[in-house]
Order: sequence, then C-alpha cells, then structure tokens
Amino acid sequence: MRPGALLVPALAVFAGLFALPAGALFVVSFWSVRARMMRPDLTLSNYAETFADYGGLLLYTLAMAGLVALLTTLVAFGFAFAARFRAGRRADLLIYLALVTLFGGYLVKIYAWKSILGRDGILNGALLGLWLVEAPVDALIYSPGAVIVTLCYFLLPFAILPIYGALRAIPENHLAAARDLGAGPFRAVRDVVLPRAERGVAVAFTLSFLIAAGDYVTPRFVGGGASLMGHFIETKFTVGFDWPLGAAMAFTLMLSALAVCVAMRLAYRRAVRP
Amino acid sequence: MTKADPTSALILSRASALSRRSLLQGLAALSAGGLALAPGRARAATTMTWMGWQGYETPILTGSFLADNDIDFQPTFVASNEEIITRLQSGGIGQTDLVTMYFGYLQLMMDAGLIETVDQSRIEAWDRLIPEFTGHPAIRADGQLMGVPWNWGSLPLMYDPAVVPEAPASWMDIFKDEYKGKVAMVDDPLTYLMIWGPVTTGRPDGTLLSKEELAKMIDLLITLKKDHARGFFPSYGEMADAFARGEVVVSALGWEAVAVWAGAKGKEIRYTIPAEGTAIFMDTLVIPKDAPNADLTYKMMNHILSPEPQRVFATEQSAGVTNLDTVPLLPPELAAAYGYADLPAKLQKARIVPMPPVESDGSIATYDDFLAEYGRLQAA
Repeated sequence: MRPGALLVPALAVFAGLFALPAGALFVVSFWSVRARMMRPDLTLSNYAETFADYGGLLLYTLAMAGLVALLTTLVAFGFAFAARFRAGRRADLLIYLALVTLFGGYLVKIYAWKSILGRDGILNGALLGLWLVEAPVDALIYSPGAVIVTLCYFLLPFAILPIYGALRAIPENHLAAARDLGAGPFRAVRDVVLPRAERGVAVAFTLSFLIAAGDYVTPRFVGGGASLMGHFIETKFTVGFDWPLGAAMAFTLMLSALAVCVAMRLAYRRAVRP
Repeated sequence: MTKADPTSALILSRASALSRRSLLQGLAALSAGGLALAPGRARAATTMTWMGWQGYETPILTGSFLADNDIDFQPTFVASNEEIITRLQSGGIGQTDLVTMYFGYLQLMMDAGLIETVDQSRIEAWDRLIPEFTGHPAIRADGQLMGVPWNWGSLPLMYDPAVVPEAPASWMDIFKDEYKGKVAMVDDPLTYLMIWGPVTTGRPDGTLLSKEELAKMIDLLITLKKDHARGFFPSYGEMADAFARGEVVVSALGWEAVAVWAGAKGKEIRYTIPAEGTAIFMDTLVIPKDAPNADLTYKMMNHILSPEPQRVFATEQSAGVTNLDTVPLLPPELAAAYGYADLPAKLQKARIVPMPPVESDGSIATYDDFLAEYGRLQAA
C-alpha cells in the first residue's frame, strides 16, 4: 500500500464533512434573497453589507477573541512550563488534571461559572463571608469580564496540550546550558524555550482564538446578552431568512480570524527571534 | 417566543427505543431469509416526524392514539420557533409530518414555501375552537388556512411580590429608579414588538409602526437594557432562575410559565397585565410542505385538538387550550387564570396583534426593518 493511501479516509471525511459544505456555503454567500427565497446570483452586496452594518461588531468580536486567546495562551504556557520543567514526576498528574476539565459538557461549564459568579454564587458568598463587601457584587456576571473568564476556563486544556507537547521536545539540559552560559531565567526562556515552542504556542493561540471568535452561547448565558458576531450570523440563518448574508458574515469572520492568527504567528516569530 | 428552559437550550432529537428495536428486528428477519419472517410491527408501523417545544408532544402521547394507528412517533424538540424554520429550510421538507408554530410566523413560512394550507373541513373540532382565534386573519393567506390554533398564553409583566408589593400599573413603571439593575429582559424579538410597540405608540395595533416609531421603540428598549436591566437572558427559563435568585424583581416581558418555574424553585412570582395591555401568543398546528403521511397527520391534529389530550396538556404545562369543550374539564384555578369565563374581556387586555408586513410601501416598517432595528438592541 502506498503511504498516501492511508490519507484517503481522512481526506474523504474532510472533503465530505467540511470542504464540500463550506464550499456550498461560500457559493451561497454570493446569492441574493427575494421574497424570502434564495436566488442564484453573483453579487458582492452581502459582503458590502457585512462590512457596512457589522464592521464594528466584527472588530469587537475579534478584539474579545484576541483577549481571550492571549490570556488563555499565557496561562496555558505557565501551566505547561511548570509541568514540563518544574513538576518532575508530578508532571503527568498535572496534565491529567488539565484533561479532567475536558470531561463534562460545554453548557455544564457555563452553568458552573454562573453558580460561581452569580449574585448568590460562591464568589459573592466568599466576599460577603470575608466582610470584603457589604452587598453582593452584581458586576461579576452578565459582563464582558464574565465572558472572558468562562471562555478562558473552557479553552485552557485545548491550549495546554499543544504547548506541553512542544515543550516536551526541549531537553532540560539546554535550559541548564543557557543558565551556565550566564543567561538569567527570563533570558533563558526567551532565547531557548520560546523559539522552539513556537508551533505549540501558535496552535494554542489559534485554537483558542477561532473557538472564541465563533462562540455565541457563552455571551448569551454569562454576558447578559448577545454581543458577538456569531449570534448575528445565527439570526440571519433563522428569523432573518437570509442565508446569503449569513454566509457572507460567516466567511468574513472566518477569514478575518485566520488573518489575525497568521499575523500573530508572524509577530511571535519576530519577537522571539534570537 | 423563546420559551426554552435552560435544559432545552440543547436541541434534543429523541429516537424512540421502539424504532431501534423495530429496525433490529427487521434486519434480523431479513438475514434469516426474507421479509415474510419479520414481525408484523416492523413492517406495518408508520414513522411520523414532529417538531415542537419539549412538552408540546404531551397530547400526542395521551391515550392510545399512537398504538391504535401503529405509529412510530419521532419527536424533535426545539429551543426556538426559528429553529423549526431553519430545520425545514435545511432538509426537513418532505421528511416532517407536523410542527407547532407561533402564529406570527405563518405568513413568512407560507411565503417561503415551507408549509401547506390546511383543509379546514378535516378539522373535526373546528366549530368548538375559540372563535376569536379561528376567525383571526393572521392564520389565513388568501382565505386559505395556514395553521390551526391549539394553545395560547399571554405576555404579562412578571414581578416579585416580596420586593414589589403592589402590581405595577404601567409597563413604564419598570423604569423607576428603585428597579434599576433589577429588570429582566429576554432575547425574544417579536415579544418586544408585541408589548412595547403599543406602549411606545399608545395604539393597540402598535406592532404596525412607522420606521421612526420603530426606532423610538428600540431606543427606549436600549435605554432599558443599558441603564435598568440586570441581564438580557437567552430564555424564559433563565429569567425564572434570575427571579428565583432574587437578581431581578420586574420584567420587560413575560410568560405565565415563568411563575410556575420560579415557584418550583421556592420563589413566588406574580404577573399582571398593565394598563397599556399586552399581547397573546397563539401556537398553531402546521403541516409542512410535502408532509409524507397526510391522512395520519390530520388524524394526529384531530387527536391533539380533542378534549382529553388538551386537558392533560393544559394541566401539565399550565397552558391555555383552544377547544372550548376542554374548559369544563380543567382545574378551576387554571380555568380562572386564563379567563375562559369571559374570554372577550380577557382578549381586550391581552390582544392578538398583527405581525409587521413582509413588504411595505414605506409607510409601515417591515419585518426586515424590525429585525435590523432589533439588532441594535441586541448589540447595545
């Protein structure tokens, strides 16, 4: 059997379940709607409308997703670094603990954070119990901050794993050699670890960013309303009866998100270049 | 209406165990030598597909209707009316026998070619259904019946009597300073239009707005959302939870079931219809385009509309029913809550309001105009 033949099942699944539907949706994004029925067309008006009416929302969505991805990647890097270079034999336990958080559904995690951040939640209970506040803090939930915290928690294991995988390829004695040659701890990490962890960090950031950019459930449940692009895309496909505009918005978001990921990777590579 | 409780935020599609068992039996029989050996049930059962809210299947399951007609019932539960539209648009046509739909979407669905007209002469209980509903023009297109009214409820103002001892007299009372940060809102587009259109304009038919009036209504709601609301909840179940936790004390829109759900969590919540009145929602039985089992579909509709299934549904769900023969069978407190004794008076305060038109000469804002403006509220 040729080595390439092993790729055929995966490619067939990719083509059948992603490429073909996405291609069909891309074609639809150039169609138009008249009298609530989609009509084959070749118009750019859906993309023009996306930028004109939803440009601000697109930027806000990308900014929120960027912040979530940045925070998630930073925390994940710290966790993975500690597991790889500081935890010794307890590294496997730490990674197992990170994986445990993957158990349980997405909505379960959202409700868990609602019970933590809510008016009668664990956090407010602790603040009241410690006499740090006189009344429950309402701003803990139904705010952009609650969305960021919830998404970071949800995405953390997805970011830890690729970074940990990349750090596993870096021998500990390379760090020791850098220290022996006079590098301080931060210099050693910057010059030895970060350049070689590029792929893991890039995957962690990209996963976190793309999932956060496309999410619209978390803002509705803990953000106090619909505020990210995903919700408005959903609306076009449902009550709006406007699949072409919804498709154009989806592809605009997807391509913008990919552009941000590429730009971040180039910036990272430039920043850690020795 | 976005009536889902938190658990129904997930789309639940339930394949019955009977179906799987029948399939396995059929396959076993085939492998043994032929269809002749297959059990009778595997060959004869008719699969019927239904879409609606969780709980709305109750009348179908009441009694022996499914067994009597050898039906393999396949319900699909939805989290919103809009989801039914999406599912029909994306492959559900020709596969679905019956859906339940809020009456306001019927014309849209008819225009989009998603539904069939209903043969009124085949609805056995038609003459016993509430005449204010069956006579309403919103359920007809060019004289043809689009859906059959089968349950209803009003959209009252909900309030917490522990904090608000006197029922608010006006919808505008929720703007009072003492409720700042304690107002509940739900992401439910049409309900805002049905309640706040008349409040903004002072006209009972306030859902038919000029573009300026529409913008004014949305501006008012944006002020409410930004300066007074605790949250813009994704469902009425979330609103009930917020009431139960004491996070909100009044609401910008409501549904009787919220009081039931909050009561189940040990919190008494009351509702009132303020001086400006409110709207009602009315759900209808609708036949999707190219429904595969037309005769059985009519049988199922007649079963749903018959008194006993309606009674069971109304009692379990605290819902309003449309067959007047059901009313004497209802618990007295439920019948009183829905005002069956004097429905015309009830429907004076809680009205069936028209939907914005699909197209317009510009004098009245269209449905698309409304959606565009509503987007401002969502993004605010």
